[in-house]
Amino acid sequence: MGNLERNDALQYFCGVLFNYYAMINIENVSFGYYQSRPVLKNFSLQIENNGIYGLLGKNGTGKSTLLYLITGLLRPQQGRVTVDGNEAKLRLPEMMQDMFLVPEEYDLPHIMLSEYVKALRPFYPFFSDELLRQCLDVFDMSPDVHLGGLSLGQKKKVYMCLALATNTRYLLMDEPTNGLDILSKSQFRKAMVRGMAEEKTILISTHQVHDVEHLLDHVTIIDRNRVLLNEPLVETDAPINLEELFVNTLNNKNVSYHE
Amino acid sequence: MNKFNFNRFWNFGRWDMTVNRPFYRKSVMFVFGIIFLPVLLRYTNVLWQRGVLMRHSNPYDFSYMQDSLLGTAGWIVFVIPILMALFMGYTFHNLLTRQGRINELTLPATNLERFVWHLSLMLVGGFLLIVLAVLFADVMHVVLGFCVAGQRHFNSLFLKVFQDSFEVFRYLPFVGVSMCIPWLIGFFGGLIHLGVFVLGNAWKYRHNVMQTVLFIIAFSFSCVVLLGFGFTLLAGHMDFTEASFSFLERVPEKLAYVVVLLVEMALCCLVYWLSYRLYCRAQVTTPRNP
Repeated sequence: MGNLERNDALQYFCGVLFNYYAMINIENVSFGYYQSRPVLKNFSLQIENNGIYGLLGKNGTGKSTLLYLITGLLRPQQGRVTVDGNEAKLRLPEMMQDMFLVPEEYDLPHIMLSEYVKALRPFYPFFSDELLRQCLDVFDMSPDVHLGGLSLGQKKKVYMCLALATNTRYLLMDEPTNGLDILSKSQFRKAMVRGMAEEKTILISTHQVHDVEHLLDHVTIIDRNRVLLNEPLVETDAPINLEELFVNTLNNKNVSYHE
Repeated sequence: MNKFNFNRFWNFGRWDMTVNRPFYRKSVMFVFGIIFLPVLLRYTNVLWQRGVLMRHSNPYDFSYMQDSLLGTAGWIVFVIPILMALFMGYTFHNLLTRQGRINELTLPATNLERFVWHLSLMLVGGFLLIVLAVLFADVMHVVLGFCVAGQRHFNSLFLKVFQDSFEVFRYLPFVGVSMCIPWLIGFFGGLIHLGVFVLGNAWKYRHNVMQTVLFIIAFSFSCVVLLGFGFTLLAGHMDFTEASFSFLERVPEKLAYVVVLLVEMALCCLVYWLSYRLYCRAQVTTPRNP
């Protein structure tokens, strides 16, 4: 065992013992789709508590890239990403069964929803049919649908219901409200509240701040290689103005997220 | 990382068969169609000939057809390696689209479980599918032969295909060598040939079959040119006599074949290991697979 591995093992052991390690730890990560154009350079971020996190940033700042790095769908060129001490790029089943990603765009197979659920259920030990039914109810959708015949918005709703029903500890959503109409956005918020539990961490990457501002427990604003803001949203009587917070943070002004 | 759990393996298989049902259904129909095609053409031809002859009031005996399976079996023997190469070129068909990559790679199963499933489905499943398709074509050959050509005795198309497939061994110079070694050389040679298509698919998910074929042609051509060029250069500098090659005669034949077999086995392991390694490092998007 090399020095580095020994240190990692020691750090992990101490983490387990004292429960101090970050649940999601992004450490000095550099990544670029092309060598000449890095999306992230020496980027670090820790997610340490449960709750609903909003990952905000301008277009092209690497929000989706960050989600893919956390799920192991991308391999960092430098640095490391760990989830509960597991290296994300290894995509270990123990890690993946506690994590579900809702990408921005996706295609569902041309089969019945019930068949898809039957195929997916064995992979997720805490899969809840009850939660799936409740979530579909919120979206006014029937469990007896054929996935091939759904519109893009309907597919998104079904996929989000499936994601919530897997009951994974980490749920990552990339622009979940894109393609949803106003009513569906409201239903989305209801479904998220219903699907949320104390031990869950939901990471929502979006640039549509209005759609999620009443949901978030924590806000993280990133810009290129820096975390501009990574703070919990403290509940007060005043409503949160996330858009102002976002613009002010990006413009380096004094940050205040209450009107 | 490489832990293998049979429960997860079967779950992954069930998931794959469920989400790709339309794709697999079309593949089965394609294989059955391709193999049944010559049988259909054969009896369509009989019907057409009978129509022509009847018009000229000239009755004709079609019983000669029972032994002339050459064209039909020949076609099937010709398409089997092409079909197998196609199967292997689609080993990682789930990775073709970005969404497919997300769906497959985020499923809680190890890379090894997924890789073994895909490989066995295409290699073993593909071969079994071809066997079933040939059996189906054989049954149809009997039915059509009886109904259309009025035949009473049939030669099995299935047996003819497999006799023809292994005919090649008869012409190989394996004199004095145990038949086990040539069989193994043929087997591993085939596995390497198919493995190159798996490797091509692990490298590139789209248009990979055509690129692999082009690569094989370019690689073979380069090898021939380089060997020829190298040998010419060597011959220019050295004084070769017949005695220079006499050491080849002293090498025991069995040993030579064992060495070839060992080289083939090592190459086979290398090709599949490289494919596995590439599969483990699959990402949602790369410049090679956008």
